[in-house]
Amino acid sequence: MRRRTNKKNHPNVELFPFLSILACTIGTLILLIIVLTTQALNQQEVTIVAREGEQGVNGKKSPRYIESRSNGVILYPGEVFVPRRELDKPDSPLQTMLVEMKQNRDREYLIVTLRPDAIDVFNQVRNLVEAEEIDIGYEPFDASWTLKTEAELERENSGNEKP
Amino acid sequence: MKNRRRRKTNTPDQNLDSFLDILTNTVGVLMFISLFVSLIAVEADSIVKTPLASNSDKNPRFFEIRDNKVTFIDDEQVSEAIQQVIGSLPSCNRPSLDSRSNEELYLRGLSNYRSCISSRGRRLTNFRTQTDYYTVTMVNPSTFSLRYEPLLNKSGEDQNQLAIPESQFNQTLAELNPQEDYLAFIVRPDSFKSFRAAREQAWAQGFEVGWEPHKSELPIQFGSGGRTIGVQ
Repeated sequence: MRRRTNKKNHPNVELFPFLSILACTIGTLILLIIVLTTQALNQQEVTIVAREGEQGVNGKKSPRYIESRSNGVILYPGEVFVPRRELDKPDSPLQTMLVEMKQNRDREYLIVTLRPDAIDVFNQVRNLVEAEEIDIGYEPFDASWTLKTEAELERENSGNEKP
Repeated sequence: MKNRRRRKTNTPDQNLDSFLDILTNTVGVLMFISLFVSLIAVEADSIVKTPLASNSDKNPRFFEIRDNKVTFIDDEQVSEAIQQVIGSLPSCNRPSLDSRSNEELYLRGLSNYRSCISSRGRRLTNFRTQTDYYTVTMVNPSTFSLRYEPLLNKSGEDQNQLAIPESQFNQTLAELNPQEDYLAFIVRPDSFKSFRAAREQAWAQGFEVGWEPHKSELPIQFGSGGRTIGVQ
């Protein structure tokens, strides 16, 4: 008598390659998360503006920025670097900026940021600024931060608002 | 009838469905986290508002922030200690010109006066007192320059401790009056983060705040000369 062979309808699926792919994906995603988190924590862009004074005085003025570093300062906008030895020179970009600001004293104020290793340079800049009687605000600035000016921030925000 | 022997298989039949479920769920969650972190990374910009520098008629109350820990520099306590020392000093009277008539008496009086002044100077030079966090010594009696050296066994409060309502910092602020006092922070380069936290807390309680960066290796010294910390 001939026996009928019982054919299976379900194919036997081998899942191990799929598991390997999933494991690799998990590994990649974890790596991605670590990289992104580190970047988010370390590369923080910070904008510094003046706190609103009495009767909104500071709100009517616009800020200009100087970033103090251990070897000199960076002037914003334009990110012009002025070495420490040239800070006092009458023709240095810093002095030009201060002269301009002195003329626009009613419309502008100065924000000076201070990196942890730049106290000497900061003191030098502050003395120069105070001698010109320009409004100044100074703020401690972490080594990992990047300065973003108020104008840059406004440009970005207006760009995001556009359809 | 012939008994048919069943063949036992040694390898167990593995069902990987549940395991696959877990893995696919994990991948989904991780993708969600990556998206979230990416969004945070893009929106990581922050705005810090800083006041412009100005002078204030209020009384400065000094704090130092070193190693991200805030300590109160109780200069009022030190002033009281100095006043006590000054009050206990002998009064030195310069001999009057009238006594010139008796030269010997005048010279003796002048000598006594000089030794009295020198004794006063020595006592002031040796002035030494201690606050909760500092040993205070006189550096220059003629300018009343005082040096504050931190006590080694005492440390201040860190960022997390500051936020506790019963913290020493909050207790000190509770004793001060925002209408009469402002807070002046002497900030070491390693302590910017704690300074920002302390400043936020002070602003929240209505205090004006000033700050001055101070190099790690330099001691704190109060006296004539130097820079006044204004409100900023």
